[in-house]
Amino acid sequence: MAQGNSVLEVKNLTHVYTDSRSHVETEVIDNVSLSFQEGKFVCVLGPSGCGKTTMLNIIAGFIRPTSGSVVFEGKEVKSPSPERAMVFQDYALFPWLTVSGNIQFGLMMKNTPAKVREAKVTEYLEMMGMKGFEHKYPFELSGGMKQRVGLARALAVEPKMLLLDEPFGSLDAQTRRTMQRELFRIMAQAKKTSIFVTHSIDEALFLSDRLIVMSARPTRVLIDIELKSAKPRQRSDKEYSEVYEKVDKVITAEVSKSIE
Amino acid sequence: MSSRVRKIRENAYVMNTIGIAVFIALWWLAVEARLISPLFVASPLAVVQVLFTQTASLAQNTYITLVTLVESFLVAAAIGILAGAVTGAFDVADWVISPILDLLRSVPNVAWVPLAIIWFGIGIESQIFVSAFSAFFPIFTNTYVGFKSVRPSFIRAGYNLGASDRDVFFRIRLPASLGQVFPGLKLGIQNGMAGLIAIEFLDSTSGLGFMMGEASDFFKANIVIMDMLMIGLLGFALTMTLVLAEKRFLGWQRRTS
Ligand SMILES: Nc1ncnc2c1ncn2[C@@H]1O[C@H](COP(=O)(O)OP(=O)(O)O)[C@@H](O)[C@H]1O
Ligand SMILES: [Mg+2]
Repeated sequence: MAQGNSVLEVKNLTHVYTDSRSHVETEVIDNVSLSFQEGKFVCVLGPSGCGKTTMLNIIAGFIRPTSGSVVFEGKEVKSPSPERAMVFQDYALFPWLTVSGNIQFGLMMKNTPAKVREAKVTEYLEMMGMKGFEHKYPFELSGGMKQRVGLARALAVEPKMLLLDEPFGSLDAQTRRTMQRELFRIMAQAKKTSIFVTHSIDEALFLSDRLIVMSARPTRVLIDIELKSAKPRQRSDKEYSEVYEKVDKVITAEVSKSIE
Repeated sequence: MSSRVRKIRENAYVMNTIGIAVFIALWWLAVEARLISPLFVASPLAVVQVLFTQTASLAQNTYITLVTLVESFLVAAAIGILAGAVTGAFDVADWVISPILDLLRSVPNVAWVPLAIIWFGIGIESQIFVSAFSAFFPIFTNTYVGFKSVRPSFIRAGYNLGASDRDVFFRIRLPASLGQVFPGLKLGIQNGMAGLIAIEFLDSTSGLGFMMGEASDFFKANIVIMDMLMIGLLGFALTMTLVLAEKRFLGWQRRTS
């Protein structure tokens, strides 16, 4: 998949965790190479525990890979950067800051003037449909709202890329559906190059321009396809059902493999 | 607060008062009926009388103990929070400092009194040393644990949003640890008081500990008990000050109502 403007390259990525006590080695990522194109919303699917979070953490720069590299805009990733903003599964909102304080945290780190920060907070809260929540604390918010703030906080630093690690994984089914629609609307507006990790095929098919399916541990790429049909997709769409069936078969096989 | 919660809370206050009143009444009766000798336990009346017969001495010694305790506490809090934060946040500091402190921790606070007196002589310096030393460990340990156990995703989120090491230390680890630091400070006040009373009692010419020791030599149980009450009151007042500060700084924590 060489066409388009590549923003991020994952090259021969391998990762092995070594337990610090027992020195037992767990190979998690096995020689994965991927290239991410500008403006695309890419979903990464894979059985739980296969190494999706590990891969995203390496892309974010939180951990260094055992071998291989991640190259972002021509430079090797060695540490975290607001250019690749993360939305965490556990939200990771700072509980001692208000909604407003959380959203403008990244801007404060850049010494952005207070006026500009306030304006950004207003802008992103409006985008999230959360006007008037500036002074609430995270503990006063529902899960869905927390993740909206998590998304706003990531978008507020105007990253080149958005990394989302099962952002709706802790939400109930109903809220999850709402958030998927919300994210679709927001992404249509924000147009960010994104990597979205999920284990829901429906979620992936609903949102993605491209779908990558990973194997059980040590993880490899099993399927990598571009979805051509227009979004938002319906379950009744031809492409939707075809891809669903194919992906479902592969994932079911992988999950049963990882259980054995 | 809902009216139901308020009602339960008011009921609790009433029960507290009843509990204390019953306790004092039983104490009084026991002494009046000579179930206990007044030589060992003075009657509540005799204890209250100390307020009038020993006003100046009581006020002065209470004041001295209060000031010494606050000074010791401030020293302990400053050093304890700083050391705890640095050891909790940086592995190198942890490896160097923690073993030494673990060693020192095993020595009971009162066992420092003789050495403190050799170093500083009898007086305010040795008192502050022992009291601050006693207050230090719970403050240090709680701060250390707080800084050490900050949720990794908070720290990751910080760096991800462009925070420097310094920002992560002050804007993430510090606020994230406050919930642990405050209980440490409260324990610190209690330990600091224990250490201070011990050294005042053993080697001093002023303070509530000294006053108690003197009264004890003359078998004045009423004065001893009044001193104990003052110690309790001081400890309570200082702890409440910390509780207020905690409410002010930790308002963002999940409230139950
Ligand atoms: N810090 C770590 N040390 C050792 N093993 C880890 C660590 N983090 C994750 N693992 C292991 O690596 C595997 C992949 O984890 P993860 O990347 O979180 O998977 P996923 O996000 O796909 O569920 C799991 O088996 C997990 O137990
Ligand atoms: Mg994961």
